[in-house]
Amino acid sequence: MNGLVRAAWRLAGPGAIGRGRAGRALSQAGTGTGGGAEGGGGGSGSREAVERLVRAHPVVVFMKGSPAQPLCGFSNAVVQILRLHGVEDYRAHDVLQDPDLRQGIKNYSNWPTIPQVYLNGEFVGGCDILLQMHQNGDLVEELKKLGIRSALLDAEKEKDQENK
Amino acid sequence: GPLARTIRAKLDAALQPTHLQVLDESSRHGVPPGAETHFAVVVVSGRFVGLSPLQRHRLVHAALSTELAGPLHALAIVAKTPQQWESDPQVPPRPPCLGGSKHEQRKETVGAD
Repeated sequence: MNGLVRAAWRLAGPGAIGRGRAGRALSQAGTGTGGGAEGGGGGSGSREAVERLVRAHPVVVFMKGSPAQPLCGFSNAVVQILRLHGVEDYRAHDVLQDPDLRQGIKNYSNWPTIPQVYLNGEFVGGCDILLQMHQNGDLVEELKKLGIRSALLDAEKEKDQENK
Repeated sequence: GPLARTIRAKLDAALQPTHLQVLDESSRHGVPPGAETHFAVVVVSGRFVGLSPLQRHRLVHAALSTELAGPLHALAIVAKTPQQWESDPQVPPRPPCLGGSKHEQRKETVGAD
């Protein structure tokens, strides 16, 4: 498993970033556009605004950069792990584009660092925890609860069929 | 450096670890060596028994809340019980730096609109 993750990081080196799946339009690179327009309530970093973001989708990630172009090794690790599981449909918010959101998300989860991963509106942890969940099988289970079938299950199935 | 010593002291006091590594990884993140901004800690403590990874990490954060509100920019955490450490004394590889906050957008007003 460790080898898999190491390999994933090598894949995501500077050369690989350009060929990200730009066509999939799954990441919201700038949250300022949506949040700012709401009017009233305190801006993009307010509790209400963050709550709306984390509930908008089963898988929500607050990171530096975007899934197509992560700008931080720890954020990239989260993107790569999700990719390994075949999770390509998720909401990603680039905190570097929005200082209010950057602070707001830390207040909301009472967690001091980025990236932050939310599953079904619930804070799950950062890159270290996601890596742990990936390695011990918990992530496959959590994704299953969300109705998402991890690609790794299919990969294992294929392997089993080949071995028969 | 001084921050490393502070981190060590606070984690010792809060968690009485049986094994503790405090690693200044700042040089791997595009800041000058000795900057003491990016750390990794390996904490092995009986206090973690029965706690989820999230709860364990929160304990570490709580011990270092002042530092995290200040100079400590990034903190990688390995939090294991003594039993877990004995059966698996491994630290996962660190992801390579990709620039991080150096890419932060600066709002610049150019011209009238």
